[in-house]
Amino acid sequence: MSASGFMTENRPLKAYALLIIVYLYAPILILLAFSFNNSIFIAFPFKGLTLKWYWALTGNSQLHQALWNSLVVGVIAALVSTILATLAAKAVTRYRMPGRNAMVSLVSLPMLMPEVILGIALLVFLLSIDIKLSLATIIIGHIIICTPYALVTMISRFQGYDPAYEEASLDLGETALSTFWRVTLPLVWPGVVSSLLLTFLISFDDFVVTFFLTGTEQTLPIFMWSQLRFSDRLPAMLALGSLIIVVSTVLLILVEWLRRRGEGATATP
Amino acid sequence: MSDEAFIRIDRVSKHFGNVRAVDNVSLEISQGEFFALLGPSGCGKTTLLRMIAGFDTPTHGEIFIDGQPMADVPPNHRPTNMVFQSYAVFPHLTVRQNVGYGLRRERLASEEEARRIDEALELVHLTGYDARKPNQLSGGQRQRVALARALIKRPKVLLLDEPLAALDKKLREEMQMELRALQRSVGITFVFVTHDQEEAFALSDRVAVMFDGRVAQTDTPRRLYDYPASTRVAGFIGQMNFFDAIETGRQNGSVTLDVGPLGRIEVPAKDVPEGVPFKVAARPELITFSTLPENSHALKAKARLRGHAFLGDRSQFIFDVDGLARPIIAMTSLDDEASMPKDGAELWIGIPRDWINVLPE
Repeated sequence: MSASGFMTENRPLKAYALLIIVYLYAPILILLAFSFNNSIFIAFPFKGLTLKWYWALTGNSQLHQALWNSLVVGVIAALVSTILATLAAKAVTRYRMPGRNAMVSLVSLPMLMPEVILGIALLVFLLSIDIKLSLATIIIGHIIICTPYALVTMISRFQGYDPAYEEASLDLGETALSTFWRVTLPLVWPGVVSSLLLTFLISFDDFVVTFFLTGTEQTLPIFMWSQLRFSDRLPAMLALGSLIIVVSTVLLILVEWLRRRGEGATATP
Repeated sequence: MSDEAFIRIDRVSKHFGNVRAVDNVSLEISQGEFFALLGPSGCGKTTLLRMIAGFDTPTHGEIFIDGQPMADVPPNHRPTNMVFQSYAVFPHLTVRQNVGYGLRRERLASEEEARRIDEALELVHLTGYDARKPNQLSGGQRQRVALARALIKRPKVLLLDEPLAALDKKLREEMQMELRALQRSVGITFVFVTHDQEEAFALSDRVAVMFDGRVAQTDTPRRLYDYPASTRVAGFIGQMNFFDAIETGRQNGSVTLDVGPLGRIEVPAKDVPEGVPFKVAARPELITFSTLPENSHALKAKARLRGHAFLGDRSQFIFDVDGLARPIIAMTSLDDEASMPKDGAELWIGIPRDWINVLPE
């Protein structure tokens, strides 16, 4: 290639980049590797390949319940926070109103607040109004931590297209509500989907806030944490962790792909 | 005219905070008229158009369409439709779905709806493009979709925001002709906004020239060009030479003006605005130049040709006259290169009596 002639080869830079990637991914790779190791001890050398830790996951009814709980919490938190964020983003980007920036900052604050603080605060608050800890309290907490991310996603989606589309729909005789269904929603749809996936992942992953708000029903991260006390169950948790990593990665790639596709399709010419 | 005004804009103002985007504007537009709002960017023309469409609410004043006050009528219930500057053709719908978008509310039988869409597509020469998505269309085609989508609603008034600004020169000229023909064939009142004087002149029956939220003059293109109401209007519409002048005498209904090195002229007193500063003005194409002075010319002076530019269909000449602060611009369609004067040449320039305007500043 003639073009490569202009790009000078930079060996130190390449080595540096490689080092960073190793640093970022080595722990994860080790986790993946040990999930296939035929030994209950997490230590070198490898004793041989096995899938038995993965098999062990299939018969664990406690785990299935925790997984189900996590899915329920994740889906509800994702739906609620994305709906809230879609409406808020529409208001913030389309209407002149006083205190708009202050409102966005306030909604985004949980993104910067240490989760421990948030968790304690929520716990104290919920107990003080006599609400018993359950999946519902976890969902409430997750909606609070998910909404800022959903809002950022939806605001950037709303800013990505011309407000004239909505005006055109009104001009052609549609009401504000039917305009939302016929124009706004189809245009922000890629944002809605990526917000749903992103908030689901945040909820599915969350440990700290969940830890404070869990009653008797555990989510998956809490269940995994509880299993660490038993050393013989550790390899199975590595297998579970590996599965979660793979699924999360695929979902994140999907989010990013949708985001870019959305930006390309409706960019104003 | 006031009884037959189809759109009546009655002392309308729009304030954004401390900015008076539109400041006490009154206009009357007749049915079937092709009307332009012309002005530099920020003059309030788009805000005025958006108030007619219902997207902005006047701070003061009222707008009537076909006798009905529009104050409490939202955009979706107004007898107007708009072609947006960006066209705003829905990117997630096909051409056919875009054009038929506004018919949903009318609950037509499906054959009737299909017939109306076919008709509208034919009107803008887009038959056969039904299944295309907007990103498969050129700018000109997208504009046609926007036009068809608005016209299919059979509005009483079609509003167009800078309809040709996004098109390249060749296409723009083509669309100008087409828009004009389209307006005649549908007979709807068109109101459009533009910053381009040529576009306003080519399309419209009448033009309102706006500066700083106010209407400076409303007239036919011909009269705007020949009889601008002020130096500002004259300077915005085409080119104009301005000369300082001093009143030196007044008798029998005529006023003598001293135009510095160009000499003196007598003009009817009614042509000279009283109590405000004024300037003498002449269009570049009406300024003549020759090697000898022309006695019939009211104003004349010896001038030096500073430079010239060949513009294709005409040439522009820039002259310096001793004692004048600004150079004089002349325009001719001389096509004989040999007869062109050389730069630096000493010539006599002159302005015929009939082509001199006296304009208030």
